[in-house]
Amino acid sequence: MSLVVGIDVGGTFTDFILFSGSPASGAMLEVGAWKVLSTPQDPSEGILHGLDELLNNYGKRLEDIEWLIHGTTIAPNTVIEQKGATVGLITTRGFEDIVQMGRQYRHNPFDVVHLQRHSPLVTRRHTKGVPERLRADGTIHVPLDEKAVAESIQDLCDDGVDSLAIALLHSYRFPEHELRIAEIAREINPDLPLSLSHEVTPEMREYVRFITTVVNAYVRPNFVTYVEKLQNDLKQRGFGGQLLIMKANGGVAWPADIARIPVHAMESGPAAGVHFASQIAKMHDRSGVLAFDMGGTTAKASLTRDGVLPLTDILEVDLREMRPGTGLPVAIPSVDLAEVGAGGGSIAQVYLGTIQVGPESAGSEPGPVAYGRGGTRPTVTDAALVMGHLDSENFLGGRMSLDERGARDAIQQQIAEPLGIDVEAAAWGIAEGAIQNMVHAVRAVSVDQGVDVRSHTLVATGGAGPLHATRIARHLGIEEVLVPPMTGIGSAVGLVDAPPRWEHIDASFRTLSKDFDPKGLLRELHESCRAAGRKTKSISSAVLTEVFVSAHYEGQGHSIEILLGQPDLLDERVKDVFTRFEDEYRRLFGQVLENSDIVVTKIRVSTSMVWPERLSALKQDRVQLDSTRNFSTRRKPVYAGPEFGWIDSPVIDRRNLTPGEAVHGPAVIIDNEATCVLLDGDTATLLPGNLIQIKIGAQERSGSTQPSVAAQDLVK
Amino acid sequence: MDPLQFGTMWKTLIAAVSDGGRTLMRTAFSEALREARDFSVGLFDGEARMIVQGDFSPAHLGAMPSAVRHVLAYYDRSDMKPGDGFVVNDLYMGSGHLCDFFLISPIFREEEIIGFAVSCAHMIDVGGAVPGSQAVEGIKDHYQEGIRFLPTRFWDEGKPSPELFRTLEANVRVPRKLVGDLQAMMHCNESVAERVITLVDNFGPEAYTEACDRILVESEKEMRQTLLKLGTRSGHAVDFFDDYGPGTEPLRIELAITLENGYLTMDFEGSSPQTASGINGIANYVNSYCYFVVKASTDSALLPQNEGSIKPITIKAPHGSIMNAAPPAGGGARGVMQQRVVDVVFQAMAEIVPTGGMGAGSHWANPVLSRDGSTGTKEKYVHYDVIVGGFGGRSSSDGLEAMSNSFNVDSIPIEVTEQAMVMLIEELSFIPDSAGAGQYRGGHGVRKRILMLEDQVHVSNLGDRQVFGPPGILGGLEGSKGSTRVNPGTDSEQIVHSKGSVTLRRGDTMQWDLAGAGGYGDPERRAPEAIAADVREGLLSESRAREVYGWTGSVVVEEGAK
Repeated sequence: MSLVVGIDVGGTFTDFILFSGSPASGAMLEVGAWKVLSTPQDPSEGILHGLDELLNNYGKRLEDIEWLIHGTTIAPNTVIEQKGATVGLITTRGFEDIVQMGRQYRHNPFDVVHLQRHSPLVTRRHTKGVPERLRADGTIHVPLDEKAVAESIQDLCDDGVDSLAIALLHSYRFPEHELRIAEIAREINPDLPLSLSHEVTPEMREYVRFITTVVNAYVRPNFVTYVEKLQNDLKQRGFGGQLLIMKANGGVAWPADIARIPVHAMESGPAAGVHFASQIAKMHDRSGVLAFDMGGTTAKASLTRDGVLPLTDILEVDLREMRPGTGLPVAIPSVDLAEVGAGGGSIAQVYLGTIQVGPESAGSEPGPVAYGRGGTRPTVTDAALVMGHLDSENFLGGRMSLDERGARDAIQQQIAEPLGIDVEAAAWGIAEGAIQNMVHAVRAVSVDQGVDVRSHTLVATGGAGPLHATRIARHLGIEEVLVPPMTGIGSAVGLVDAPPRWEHIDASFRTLSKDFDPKGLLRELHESCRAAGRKTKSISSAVLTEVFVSAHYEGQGHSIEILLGQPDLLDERVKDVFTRFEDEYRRLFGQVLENSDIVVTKIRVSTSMVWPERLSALKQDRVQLDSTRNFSTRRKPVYAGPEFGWIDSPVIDRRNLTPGEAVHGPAVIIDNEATCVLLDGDTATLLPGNLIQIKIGAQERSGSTQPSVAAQDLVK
Repeated sequence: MDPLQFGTMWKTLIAAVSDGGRTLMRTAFSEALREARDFSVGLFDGEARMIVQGDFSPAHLGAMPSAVRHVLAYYDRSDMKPGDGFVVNDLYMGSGHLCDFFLISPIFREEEIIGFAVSCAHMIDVGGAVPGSQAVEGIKDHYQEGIRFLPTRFWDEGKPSPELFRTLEANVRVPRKLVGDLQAMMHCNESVAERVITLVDNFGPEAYTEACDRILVESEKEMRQTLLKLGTRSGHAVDFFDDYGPGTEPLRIELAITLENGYLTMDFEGSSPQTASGINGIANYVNSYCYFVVKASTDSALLPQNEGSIKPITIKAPHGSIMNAAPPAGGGARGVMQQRVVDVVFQAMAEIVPTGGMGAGSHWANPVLSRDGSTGTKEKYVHYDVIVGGFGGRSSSDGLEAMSNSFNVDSIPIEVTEQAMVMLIEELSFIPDSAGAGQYRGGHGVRKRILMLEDQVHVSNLGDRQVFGPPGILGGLEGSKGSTRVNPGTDSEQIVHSKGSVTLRRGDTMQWDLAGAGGYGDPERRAPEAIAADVREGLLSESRAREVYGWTGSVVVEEGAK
């Protein structure tokens, strides 16, 4: 018996998923799910308690679990709740204020009177500049003053510092001084956790590298304590398998590795969710995917192709109201997401004669008016209820009742009356506001990535994703929506399948002309592969190694990344680096620069372990997840927008759908986790694996139905 | 019109302009656009009213409508065709210096002009006396500052004019970048136009016209409501620009603001006459930063930019004054003035809406370090440095540091600079004790020191606030003055004028000390914890804390700590 369990800890719920099968065939046969309330004070409480319930429900034992894969918010929560370590920073003398200064750019240029920056998580008093300086080419300009280093570290320890960041200029290429400072620190206090900037993120641009190192130092003690306690608790209860931790790059890591650089776990749930959506689509032979997830406070979207997740270099943590520039940047490879403050709990108000939705959110406490927990301002969830898109009797499988009257009154008084419109039209407008925010965010990403979203399949997850998916698709000109089973716990499912993945980065610069001699670059690529290999655990499973090169034209600033492929192909492909770069540049920008050299700024080697086909069970089986009683189809009025008004529509239990049978919109399909709304002209059918496929019947009338012009189309 | 449809249309127009900006940034050639984002994108309707300007540079808010009006004065609509692109960079029609190029594209639908897509971008060089086209000294008029285009059809039905591009290329120092940037602006305008045409196709021309009207009406109404709530008030401020080059006199900037019945009038009567230098304020530019401060100080930072939201504001300045220079005055170095316009308006606005006031900011420095490689080693570079100090104190918090409260560009990392240019930055730090005291203190001044690693480095300095420190407001105190020195702390120390120039040798250092920003409110009202925190953080010496705040506390320092 081989058992794999995924546990995703969220703000409100901790989600569990269980896959079991026979190791011989590799295929997973049985799938189980569970959900308990999170225990924010000590997340492991909820985990252990929920895990017991899950295993009981499915007649399994902790001893049976081979892999336990965990997505945790402990790292970001440490920053959000400001509960981290007292960090000390050793840096190059003269540059003590780099992390205090932050970035100059204001994301809203007009916001200056109230603008606040995020705390850098280290005080000026605990920042010590030491005499040392390397030049950009690595030559020593000022030798390291070891005595000053020892004194500074001693001072910091005496002053209560319990986690040390070491970040020097130009160390991303020349780490000698950082390494020596670490040695001295270990001599002074062997127990002091150290975060070295060239290890945390070997990237050029000092502010972002320094602050990432400080954030790492800040979250590290908490993270280590949490993971160690969880491992011990599990072990005591008989767990003998392997715990893995989800990273922001869409891969997972062994606890001992991630504990040194926990900043890589700064985000996990969204990455796992995107992985789930893209894998589901890939199993059904869909190529371009818009992974769309909408929860209580935010909506997220990511564009993937053939199951490959788009990565970005910088993730901003602890944003206020999802506004860029309000958090701290951390330079780690992370799944590229567009995130907007538009979730079920987003608050609607009238401004400038229109309905504005978010970024203010009622969250889960007090939550929407409909929750009856003291919320008074209308939210997106309230709007869905008023339109009949949510069913007050079958919300979350009937576990929670909704106050439809309260929701209606709030919308009537605060939105409909000031605008002089019907309450249902106001509700439609509230949902439209949230949808517009998301649609414009998706379009911005598609402009940046140079893709046409019309050819994509939208995969909807999250508690509110399926509710709005058909309208989003209409706006974007997307023709197909897939609603997988277990939408509400998509991140947990994604965890189970996310592969262990390591990134090795070499940030040395080399300038290449068109007729460059590939030998030098090839040598460095192979050296990077060897170094990446040394970091890789000796694992029995198959390993996939891919080499990426980042480059820009000489004189430019922003690099684009190109995939060179697996190491054994390098000898062949290194010669084509220039051509591949030009192809990608042309795809993004429509033209190439003649007679320009390129600068290779980074080599990235990504190593992934390949799991046996775990999600295949989701394709073959009718996944049946709960024991509550099915309800039979009934009819009720559903509001279909100001054009169509109320339409008498079927409300269908998802479990009653049968393969091959088509459901025509307007209709509402409900399961325990989410509600799926079909509009006029939409047709839903059930695909294998309890996957709902919706063909979109019409396009929304707005300026958004055309793709924004990708750059390549513009160049004449 | 149905408010739902109106909301959808407005949001779509804002997104069209914002995505146009993304296209521009991603296809541009120069760092000024790609990295520093020194551009703006706007949409005008068929009647040439500004309907949307995205959240880009505040410097173009007042200039864009002027550029469009002047194009229409030179070209009749009936003479315009789809695919046309009109360029104007005249400093009086545009944004106050020749570096800003405007590209205006008529948007056609069914042979009718339904609007204009407009982009404006800062070009890194447009010719003239010095690289970068922003000289101060030796400039008598704008003819020395670079090539100038009155409204000119660069694209004729989608076809670029080879003659015009050849003329342009012959007159600028980095033609490839400028031409590439213009092409990027065209891409941007085309993408905006396509989105607007789709919108009109979907909703119909009547709904589009109605939506445009209503955007302006709602925005004006909101701005007037905001101003009405402030009652009938007046404000006044005088501040000084150190000078406009070595050996010149200070420039006086005076502003009186009256607010009545929801209308705001700003009058710069009493300001100095225009100068024979590259430093002059041209109305469009001055107005842009006046609108900026009004928006920022009255809680309308989130109000979308358009012609309606600025309508309740009237700005006057004497013709031929430093705030309304007349041809042929030059304006290449006007960027150094914008901080003072912002300072003065914030000071005067503080008397009208105290919660929206802000002490004067540190003045930024914008020196150009260059090496032409003609002697000694062949190392060549032109380095436009941007050194930014702090905001003044505000009504509920201290001034932010190392961030401009007026222009908006991103920082260039030290590691990037040293990778590209043979120089070594020795220090980049806050200057303790430099902040103007107040209930909420100003941001600290910033020090940057650069070590030359080659001979023959030419430095054109550009800064201010070395004679007049940044004043505080509502009882807040002035910040420390700035300075620029060569080889500070050595026998060969030498002061360099804020707008002077100097040639340096290998081993020389040059240090910019920016002024500390002005404080907000009486220092006696500063919270003792805030004073103690600054002392503990090493930003405020105990002696100065006693002197300016009457502080009597002491910071308990644990044993062994410094």
